[in-house]
Amino acid sequence: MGFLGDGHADFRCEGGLGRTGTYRAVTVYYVSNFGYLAVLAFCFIGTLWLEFVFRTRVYRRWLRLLMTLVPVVIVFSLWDLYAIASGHWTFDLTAITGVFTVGNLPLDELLFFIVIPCCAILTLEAVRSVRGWRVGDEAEPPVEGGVS
Amino acid sequence: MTYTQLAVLGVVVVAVVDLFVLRTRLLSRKVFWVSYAIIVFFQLVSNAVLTGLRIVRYNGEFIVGSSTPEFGAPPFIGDGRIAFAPFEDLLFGFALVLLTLSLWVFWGRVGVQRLPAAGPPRFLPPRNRDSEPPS
Repeated sequence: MGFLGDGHADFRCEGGLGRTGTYRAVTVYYVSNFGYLAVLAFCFIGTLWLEFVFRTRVYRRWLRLLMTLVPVVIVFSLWDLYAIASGHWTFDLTAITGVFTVGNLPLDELLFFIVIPCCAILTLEAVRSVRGWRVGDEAEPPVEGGVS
Repeated sequence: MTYTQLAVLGVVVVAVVDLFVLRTRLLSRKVFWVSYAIIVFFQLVSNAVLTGLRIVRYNGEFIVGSSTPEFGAPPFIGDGRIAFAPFEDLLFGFALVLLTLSLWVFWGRVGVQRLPAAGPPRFLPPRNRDSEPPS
């Protein structure tokens, strides 16, 4: 194991079922390539319904969302690249897509920095939708007795 | 720098951004802490999958706990870990969430798509018909 791209995985089987020896399993490798993406899909789908049921209107305000995501993706991708270069963490190459973006950042990690912020904003807007608490972007209430 | 040092630094820097740079002051708002409580629960669940299945593996040189083992899951709790993940991930996640929400509120405050505002939920009547524009 530990190579990318040809769709095979070697594994050793000793005792128990079958003969002892090295076997080659076909396609197993690619199935597990989506482990990381499956977690992201869980997060994305797990919050998508808030947009409709709570009327969060986050994806509808896509420009504001984009302007929020761009700095976040840049800052945290740089952090990630530094951490990978320094050896803080590594990835199971059988569980990520194997697609690498700028500077060897796994595509899965880049998507993480897009999906998770969307989940966070949807959660904030859903809480606001239900409770009506002030978030800080509301229009200023007209000043009493002032010009309005 | 270690992951531990970077994670603490990240939280401090983002807190300064929220309080003094963008002045969104989410750290002082109830809506933020209630939202974060929901987010951190699901972070623990999804990050437990990523770290417990060893999809992401950590080097013990750079965290408080020890390295993700060669075989088998790391401790569920203890040795610097919470739900399989290094506790540093909670700081990383907090910085990610706070920076995101601070920017989102900042853009709304300066007038980028402040409207249409969120709510009301489909299962509740409009809170105040006079202040809500029709959708």
